[in-house]
Amino acid sequence: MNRIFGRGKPKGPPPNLTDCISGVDSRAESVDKKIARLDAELMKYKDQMKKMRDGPSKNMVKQKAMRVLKQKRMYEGQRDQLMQQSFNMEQANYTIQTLKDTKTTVEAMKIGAKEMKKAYKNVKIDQIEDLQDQLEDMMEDANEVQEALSRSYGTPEIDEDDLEAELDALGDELLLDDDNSYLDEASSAPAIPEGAPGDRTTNRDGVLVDEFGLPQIPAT
Amino acid sequence: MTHWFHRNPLKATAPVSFNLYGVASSPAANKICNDLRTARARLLDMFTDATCSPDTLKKSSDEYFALLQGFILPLDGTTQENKLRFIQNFKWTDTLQGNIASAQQDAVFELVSMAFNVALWYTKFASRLAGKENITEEEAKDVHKSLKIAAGIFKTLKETHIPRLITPAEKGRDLEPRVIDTYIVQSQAEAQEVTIARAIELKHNASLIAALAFETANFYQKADHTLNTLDPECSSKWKKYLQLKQHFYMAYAHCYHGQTLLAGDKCGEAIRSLQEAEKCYSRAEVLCKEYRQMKGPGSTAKPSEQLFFKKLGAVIKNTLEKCQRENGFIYFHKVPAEAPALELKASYGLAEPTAFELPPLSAQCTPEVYATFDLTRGHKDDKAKAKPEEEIKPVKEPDLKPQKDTGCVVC
Repeated sequence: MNRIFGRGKPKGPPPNLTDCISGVDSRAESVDKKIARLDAELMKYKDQMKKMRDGPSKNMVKQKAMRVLKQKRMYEGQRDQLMQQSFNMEQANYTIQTLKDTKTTVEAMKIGAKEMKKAYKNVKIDQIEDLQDQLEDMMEDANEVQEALSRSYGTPEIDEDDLEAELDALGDELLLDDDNSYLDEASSAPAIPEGAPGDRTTNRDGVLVDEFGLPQIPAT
Repeated sequence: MTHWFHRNPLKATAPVSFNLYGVASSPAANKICNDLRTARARLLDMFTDATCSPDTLKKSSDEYFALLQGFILPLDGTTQENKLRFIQNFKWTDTLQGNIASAQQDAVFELVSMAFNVALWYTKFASRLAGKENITEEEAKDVHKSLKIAAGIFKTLKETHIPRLITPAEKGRDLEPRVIDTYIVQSQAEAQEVTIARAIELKHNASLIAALAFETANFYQKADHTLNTLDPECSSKWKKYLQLKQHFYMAYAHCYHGQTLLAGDKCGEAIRSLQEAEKCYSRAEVLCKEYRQMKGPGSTAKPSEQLFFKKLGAVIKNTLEKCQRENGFIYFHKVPAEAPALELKASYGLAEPTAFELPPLSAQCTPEVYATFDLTRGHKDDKAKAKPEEEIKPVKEPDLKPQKDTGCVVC
């Protein structure tokens, strides 16, 4: 059988959705690159047309520009298609993630419900109500005791207006001591030091490097 | 990014009792001997303890080395050799020789062998940590630091302590210059692997990554060449690993060099560079299969099925497709027949060994106590030497579990 019909080729790994998205994005990026090139060419032709007077030569340049513009439109259409494809796959990926989250949530809620049922077996509502009633009664008794003890007696009559006037006077005296002159120097204070002294290390050329010896700021 | 490293087994040793009853003629001297035996046993236990941390191991090894220096350093104010240096016999196996042990009656031999094992432990600790799936930045720093410490220990032993041995090491033994050179260079190369992964993660310049990868590939090539004269039976698996990594990181270098060329609008050369990367990657894949089938000391694995290996394959494939696509409708460059030369000089990320220093002499070892070790009295252990020699059993090490690509999407 192998000699006549051959053998099936070994299967590669199944297509990964994330890899497909990055693949399509990469293709869209390439098309963007091409469009940028075409834009540069169009600008060149436009500059040429500005400097020329009407005539056959200008028409030739215009024809070239129109041809490049047509190409550009075509590539833009392709890019939009690719972006739409990528977006569709992203949506599919998002949906898959949502379904996974939903599955996890449902399972967690099932477990929660099961635990709740188990816990409810140990809880009696009548006992709880009795407990609440007892607590309520005791609180009322305590309140009555506090009320009785807090009755005032042997105190002279005090005029409310006199108290208000005295309070106003207190406010006036407190405000006299306020001094805001220290705020004037706030703007000229030195900046807060950042990091411990001797904190930084540098490589040659004065570039900061981290613990791995790589530049702190990636030079992309 | 996960990593995978080949590891040779730890050195095994026979227990040492440090029973110098006739010679240790004072309680302080006896205490030193007891502490040495205890510290040594504790240190050996830590080599096989999966929960041991670098700080714990350093503390334990410093205790032992501080006491052991009492047998090595001149303590009587003269330049004469320490009288205790040659009093005790030590047996150690080698990482490449299986259970065959070397024996030397020399405290310096014990020092270099134990320190060698400490360095090996650091490399194994780094390997266990680097094998995790989602390694954090702190863990990457620990891996990087551990590998540099190991390289520093190997280097210091080679330059300072091994030359003091009276009996030079035989061919294929750990203390031989070529074997220990390979360990030094391998540790440096593996530290740079962590740096490369970090550079990729931070999206550093492709030229920086290419230069680093090229240097790393050269390190592995140098280590491989150093082992050329060894007996193939004990070193061929290790050599396969070094060749495998050399081609793997050469593929990295060509791949990121291709990206650099593409950014410079040299699309034809970029395609050729990526084709070379593909070739190196295929060669590395073949070497993975050969590595798995090769017999010899060390751990075994299927490197080509692991995450770190597959990711590069995907990067090369995608980048090559991108270059070919863009050459097809933007650049229209001719693809040269010769791959562009990699004249890459790395200025960032190179791993230098961390300097290793022995701890200072233990406070117990004073000249007064040293004087109470009396060699003129008989060593009562001579009668015990008639016992049959026990076989040294290999050290049982915690498992190294490589991270595999499950390929699962939904579950």
